[in-house]
Amino acid sequence: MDNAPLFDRDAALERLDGDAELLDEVVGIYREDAPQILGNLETAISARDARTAEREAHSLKGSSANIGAIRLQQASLIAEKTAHQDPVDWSSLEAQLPGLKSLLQETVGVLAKAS
Amino acid sequence: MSNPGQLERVRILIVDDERTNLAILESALRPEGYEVVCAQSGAAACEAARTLPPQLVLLDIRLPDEDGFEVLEALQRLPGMQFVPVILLSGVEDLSAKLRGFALGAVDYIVKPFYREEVKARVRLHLKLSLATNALIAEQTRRLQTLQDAQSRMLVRPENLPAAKFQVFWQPIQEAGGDFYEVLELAPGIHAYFIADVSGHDLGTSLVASAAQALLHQNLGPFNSPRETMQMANKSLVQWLPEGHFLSSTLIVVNRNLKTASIINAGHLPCIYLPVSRPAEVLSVRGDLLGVFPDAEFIPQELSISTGDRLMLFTDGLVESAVNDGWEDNLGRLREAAESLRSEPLGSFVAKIRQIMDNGSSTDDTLILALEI
Repeated sequence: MDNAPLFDRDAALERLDGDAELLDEVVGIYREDAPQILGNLETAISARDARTAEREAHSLKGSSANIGAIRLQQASLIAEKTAHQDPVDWSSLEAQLPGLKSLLQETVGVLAKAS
Repeated sequence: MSNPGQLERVRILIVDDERTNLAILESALRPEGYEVVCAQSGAAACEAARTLPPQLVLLDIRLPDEDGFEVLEALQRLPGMQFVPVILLSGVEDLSAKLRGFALGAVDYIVKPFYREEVKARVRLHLKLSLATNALIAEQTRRLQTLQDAQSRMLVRPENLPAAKFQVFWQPIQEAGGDFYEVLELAPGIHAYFIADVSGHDLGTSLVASAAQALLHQNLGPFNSPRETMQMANKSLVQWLPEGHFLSSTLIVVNRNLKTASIINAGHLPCIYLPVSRPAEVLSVRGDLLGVFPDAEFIPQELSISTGDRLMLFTDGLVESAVNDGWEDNLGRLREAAESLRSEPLGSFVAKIRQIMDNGSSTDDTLILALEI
């Protein structure tokens, strides 16, 4: 997983058939929305709200996939799966949070440089 | 309405709560010339579909705070939305969700993250298919209007189609009674059984019966589910039948290969189910009549069946009563009769059912169609 790129611009561009302008627009939306989604995930974890936690992790996974933020996509998939378990392993989810936060920070850093 | 010299634009409704998804889907569709309407919740989607009816819907199956499938059903229930294709947006891992979506009438799915070219291609394909379906309905309606062979209609007899394993008792009271049936082999091991009662006698039952049979022939097949068959037939009948005419009917499609039966009751009497290993039951799910509402809904009841199980369809002559007890009581008697005759061969089964239920003063046609798995 650590071998996957933080931001696979080429793959994302291929999906958008090379439209760099659109990718920039989507990245812009992502930089606004992703921190908020992660914040919602954190809130849901503190509230022990499994349904919301799963949904927010799913959102983070989906939007990360859209822009090619592969490592964050993979990490949020693990969080989504953890939140889907019954019963939910809350300590595992809590333990995943710092990793998700630093990944998001790194990803946004790379995105800022790339645009 | 469009202005002179301007084509009316094709409108697409996108339902997704994810802004990055919306941006990508919009960017794929708008430059192609589509009018795009976005909704971020099921409620907003239904509102949009009501005020700005779309020709195609892209629907995320994972919406916050609601079940995407409920949204799908709610959209399909809206007037005019029944034949609007819905393409699901889903993750690769959601196989069971996709299958459930197909069962509910979605036409396709697009996996996330989206490839813009794929989005365009699938949207184009399903708009073409939808156009072709609507043209087909119009064409079928036109052909019905020129139907010439109304009087030469042939009824299939059990000996014509032994693999369908059915028997019929039919006693028309009036010259041109309102009841008719049809049995069709769709493929080896797959048969359709249809029974109907036509209301509004002045038009000539045989003409309506021929029309309904022609529509069944045209629409039944492995590509159309029983529900879609009934929807298509209904659309044509609504356009073709004069005001005040309609059919109550039941369609059963039995797949002996897969041991399944789909039953659609369109405003008809219940049918009797006589499983080999359990007591007889009355299956009384009722849907809309055929030929009244263009957007009528036909929800199938699905049964897992076993060899030797029997199903019995009938019209109201069998359960109507000369005395005071209503047909509900007679339905109970009919179930008991079926139960007591379960070891009879199918032919004498229908004949003896008739004997038991006969009150000697029936004023209506009586039609019984029984089939065995």
